[in-house]
Amino acid sequence: MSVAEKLNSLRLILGEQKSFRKDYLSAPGLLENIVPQGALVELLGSYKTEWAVQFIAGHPEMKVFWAEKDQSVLPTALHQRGVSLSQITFATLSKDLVPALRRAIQSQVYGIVLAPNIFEEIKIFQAFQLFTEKSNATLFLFGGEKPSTAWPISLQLEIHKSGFNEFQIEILKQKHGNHNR
Amino acid sequence: MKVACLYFTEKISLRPVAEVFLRLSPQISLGRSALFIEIEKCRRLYSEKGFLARCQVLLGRLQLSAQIAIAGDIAEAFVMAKHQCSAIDLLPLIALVDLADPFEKDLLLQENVLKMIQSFKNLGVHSIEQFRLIPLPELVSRFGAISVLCMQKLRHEVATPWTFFRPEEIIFEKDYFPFFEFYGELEPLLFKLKEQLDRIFQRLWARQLRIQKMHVRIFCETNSVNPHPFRHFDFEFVSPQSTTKATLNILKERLSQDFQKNPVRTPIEALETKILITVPGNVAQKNLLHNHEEQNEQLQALLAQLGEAHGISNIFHAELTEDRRPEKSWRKIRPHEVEKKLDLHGKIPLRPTRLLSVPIKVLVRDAHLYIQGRKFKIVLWSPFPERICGDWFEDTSLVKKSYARNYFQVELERAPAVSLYQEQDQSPEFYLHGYYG
Repeated sequence: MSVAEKLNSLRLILGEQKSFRKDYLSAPGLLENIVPQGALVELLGSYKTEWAVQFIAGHPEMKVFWAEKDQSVLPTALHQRGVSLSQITFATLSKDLVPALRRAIQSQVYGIVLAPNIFEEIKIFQAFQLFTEKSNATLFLFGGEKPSTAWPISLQLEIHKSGFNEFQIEILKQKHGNHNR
Repeated sequence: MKVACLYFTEKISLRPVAEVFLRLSPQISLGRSALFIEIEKCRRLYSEKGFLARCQVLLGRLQLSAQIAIAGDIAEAFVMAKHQCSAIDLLPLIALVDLADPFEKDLLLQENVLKMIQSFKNLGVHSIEQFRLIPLPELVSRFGAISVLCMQKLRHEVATPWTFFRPEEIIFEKDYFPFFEFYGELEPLLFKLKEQLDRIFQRLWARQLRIQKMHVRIFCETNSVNPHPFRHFDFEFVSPQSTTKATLNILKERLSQDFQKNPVRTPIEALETKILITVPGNVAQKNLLHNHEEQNEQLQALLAQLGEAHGISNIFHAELTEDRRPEKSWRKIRPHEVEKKLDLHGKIPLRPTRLLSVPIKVLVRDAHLYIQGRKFKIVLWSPFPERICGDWFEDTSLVKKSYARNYFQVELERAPAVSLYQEQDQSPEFYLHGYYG
């Protein structure tokens, strides 16, 4: 057993570090915890960003990597919705998003990674699925009008506004079961 | 005084080794084949046993081996280390050369001592023990000042002057490749770069420093095929670097981009790495209870790599400002910078989650909003505008214009709510600045 492995196992015993077991996160507008850790989630609908922001606000302990092609998300709005800005690393990646996302996920630093869903090749989704599973990070992809048909996506949510500050969420696809049921 | 002597049987350059040992004591002196470290003043930091253990660890890292001895002065420590003995008296007379000149730099003195030793051997004196028994007045009359010097050193009556070792101000590594080993490929070059970084970080570690800025130069063979034989790369890191692995990844990013754009057409003759700016940074022992330090290191390495690939300004954290214009209400800060805390809760209306980089002119007509030709039915128009104005004191033709905007929140049917503004009261021109959702 290497020194790093020994250290890791000791930390596991001491309870500081969580073991890499698939877990489900609580999410706004959902009665059950169905958002899996270590998986791909596609968000659709007109209120997907609002929902994602509230999701981040509900998990202040997680570091967030927010990647965009052009900067459009407004940090002031995030702060107003209860998100700590020190929690988020913003990345404006005009070039290829894939290597940067791969690095961010593989670093195991970020628990939540957000990016636009501009990918078409299935092997890219497949790679992301493997990376997220290994690093226990959740990759949220902001989809377009139609849901992606890529099979590695575990959960697809269509989010609209139903009332004042309330979400109307339709689960389009859910591959993982919820152990908390 | 307590001196530790590290005697190296192999011929090596002692300066880089001495730099690493600065970690143990600031008082170091260099001989031709030995390193002297004053450890008396550091007795509260480590014991002799602890010192020897640390020496073995450092030597292991440098892949070197040395004979080590600790004694009361430089000459005695050198003789004991070189001859691996516990008592000087047991040694043959030849050890007087080492005793007289422990730095091995005074060739004339060595020659004279050797002549004296030869004379003593002719007289039947073969060991230091026998030499010590000769009365001093007899030595002076027959062998002069050199014999007195040797006797005084044996009796610890004269101290060897301590020559201070000063580390080089500029940390610099250069390798030459005379046999044209590298021809346009990056991987072998990175291998060499790793070796240089390993050496550099050893030296920096001893000084408790980290790299903030460095310079890498690649020298290619000059001929008519290659118009740019010299390649220069300046690296200023987002966070100071202390490990080869993380630094090499950053360097690799830039070099691979450059090698792709401008392939190397001639053999590489030399590779040079120079450290331009360093900052203090102590590498502490890892915490057993958590892995926050490793995570932080990983984060810094990741941000540095991303910054290198996509530009430092494109990987950032955000900080709020007191400007009320949505586009100016925040600013980019470097990820390691501490964010200035501002609390805007309840002070300004809720801002849209997405902001357009350039506002779009929209048309409002007959309870409908027309955005780039698409028609949306207006469900709710905020009754009061949010008035944002400022910079009126700079409203001169020479400086920039002041601003005055009236913002409205508009709810649309089957679309996210939007944020519109008009620049003048009662103006029919509206601009879409952002949307909620």
